[in-house]
Amino acid sequence: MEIFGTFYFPKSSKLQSAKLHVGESSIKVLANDGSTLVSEDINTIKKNLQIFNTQSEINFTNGASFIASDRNIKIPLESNVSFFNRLLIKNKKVFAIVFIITPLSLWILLSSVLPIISNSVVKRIPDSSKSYISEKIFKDFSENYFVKSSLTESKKISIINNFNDSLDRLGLDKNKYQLFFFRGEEIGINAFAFPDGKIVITDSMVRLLEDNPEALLSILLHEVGHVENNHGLKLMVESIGYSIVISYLIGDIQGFTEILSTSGIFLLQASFSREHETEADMFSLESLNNLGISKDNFIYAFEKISDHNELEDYEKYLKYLSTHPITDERIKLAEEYKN
Amino acid sequence: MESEITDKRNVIYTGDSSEYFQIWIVNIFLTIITLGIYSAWAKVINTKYIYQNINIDGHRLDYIADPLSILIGRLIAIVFLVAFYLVAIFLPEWVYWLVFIGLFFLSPLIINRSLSFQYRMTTYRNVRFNFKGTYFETLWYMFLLPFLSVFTFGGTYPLALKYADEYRIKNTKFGNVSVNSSLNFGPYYAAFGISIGVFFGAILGFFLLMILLGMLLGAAGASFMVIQIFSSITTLLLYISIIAVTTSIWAVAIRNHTFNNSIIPNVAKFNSTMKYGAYIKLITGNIFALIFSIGLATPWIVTRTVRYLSNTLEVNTDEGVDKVIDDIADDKSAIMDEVAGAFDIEI
Repeated sequence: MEIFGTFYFPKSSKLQSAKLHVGESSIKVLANDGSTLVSEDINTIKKNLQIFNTQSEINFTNGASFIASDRNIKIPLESNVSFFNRLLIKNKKVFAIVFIITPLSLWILLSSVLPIISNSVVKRIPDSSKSYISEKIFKDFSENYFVKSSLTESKKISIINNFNDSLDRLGLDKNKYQLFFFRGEEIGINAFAFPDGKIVITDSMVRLLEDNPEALLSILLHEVGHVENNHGLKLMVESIGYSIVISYLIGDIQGFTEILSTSGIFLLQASFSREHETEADMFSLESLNNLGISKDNFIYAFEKISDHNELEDYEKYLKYLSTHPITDERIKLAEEYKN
Repeated sequence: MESEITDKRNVIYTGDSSEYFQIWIVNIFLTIITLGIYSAWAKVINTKYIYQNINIDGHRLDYIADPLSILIGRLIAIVFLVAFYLVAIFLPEWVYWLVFIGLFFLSPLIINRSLSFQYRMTTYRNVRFNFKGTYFETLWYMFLLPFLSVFTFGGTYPLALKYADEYRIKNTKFGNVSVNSSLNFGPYYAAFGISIGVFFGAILGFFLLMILLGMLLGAAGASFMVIQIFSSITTLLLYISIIAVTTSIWAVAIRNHTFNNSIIPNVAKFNSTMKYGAYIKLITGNIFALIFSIGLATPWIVTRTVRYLSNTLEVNTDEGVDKVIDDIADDKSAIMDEVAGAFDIEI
């Protein structure tokens, strides 16, 4: 078998047109005048990867190479990566399956495998580290948003007592949980938890639910649910995971990866944090049930918050962009919860 | 001897987006089911497909990296990154700063090694490229000089970039031949000035548009939510157009200028003729395609971009193109280069 092409001299840009002669046990490259340029045993020659109709190339041990000029010609040698070609590209059925499975498996990887990994990582984070991280974030946070609460001391004490009492009855460690009252005008009606059990609650939240201490308790228990399920740390570990996964998978266009991964991470995290919210809701509902408090207080709290925010319509359109479940969904969850 | 082809368009990209899509998605699939291990092979196969389809003056480029060493490099790089995250999260702040300063002074080394890896894995006519930068020069041209422009409120930033480009190009070798380059400040300042102008112009236009839109929607009795949604969409469009226009202006001005003022003595001269309008159109299309396809259009984006860059480049070879010697030693410290290469710093 003879193949026409170009012979590239070893370690040099010198080249000439030549003929490849493939024999039983050896391969020879012949110049146009018939002289032998190189000859080598068929077993030591390496074939360069040929993908679709890129030109066929073989590399000799001395560094010389030969490239066939006709793209349709394949030099009859096995390339070390050619299994890839045979397995997937030439077989249309396999390709079709891959085409369907890939986005699916990417979704499963990001939505199930990664959270499982981050779960097991988070479980192994010692309490001392949790409190170190929390201290750090809490410090930053209070430097930016802390304005001394304007609630009366007796009001605060009654909230704290009610909260501690409930924790005791639920068999939770009350020393782990600490309540902080912020005036927090910029952050509005709000409550949130840090990984080590610090819970911040704003004055406007307290005032909104002033007439119903058990509604306020259901909000606080929702925050305890975040802490007990390590949600904050999970999000942190997951976002590190996403960046690594996305940059390695689609990392071949500069700059674009960034746009995509930021928006992708944002969407995925929004969906996970909605999952986290639901988990925290369930925790709150179960705790209320154990305390013998009606779930109506929970519903009352979220209805009040939602009335105040008046974002219902807008939220419906932006379900995937929102980090919290829509209040309707939330209330439905509570209503379906069997007391 | 190979006949000299003096075609006007002698850089041709023969790759095809549907072919590349198949390769790319299969690679992603294999990367996922091997939990990332295959990503090294994916990188080699993807790059090989693109390079082997870039034909310059009748000969193709090639990418000759060994997937196994890329894999080892990536694993080491991940260990470093995770260690860095852990330091940032768990250890006292002064340790973080110590590591940060350490990394800063390590960066020139990483950049040198990474460039050198990328270049040496690229071959043309059986000859490898190479990068010959030194630690202190890289530190000066690529880190300190750009950093110093903070003190001139960015006024010397284009200057610093000009020196950085010149430094990088002059230390590029094709086999035993060094590339030569002499760049001017003009295009850098022009591109910089226009980008800033576009940026502020867009912001101003955005405010005017928002006011107008707000008035129109308000007059039409639209609710707060509708206005919210409109403003999010407009902000996104603004963000995309600023990115598209400024990156395109910069890319066209600088790529044309650097190619047209660099030569490989006795081997090749270049002529790059990218056009602003065409490139802005290309990049805008790329960004929208990327977003609306959730990334699936990547192969199409890569293909049309490489094709455009090839179509607008002309390489005129001289008689010395036949006499370049690949004198790059196969040094044994290669693994370090691959670790650096794995950080994927592509300049």
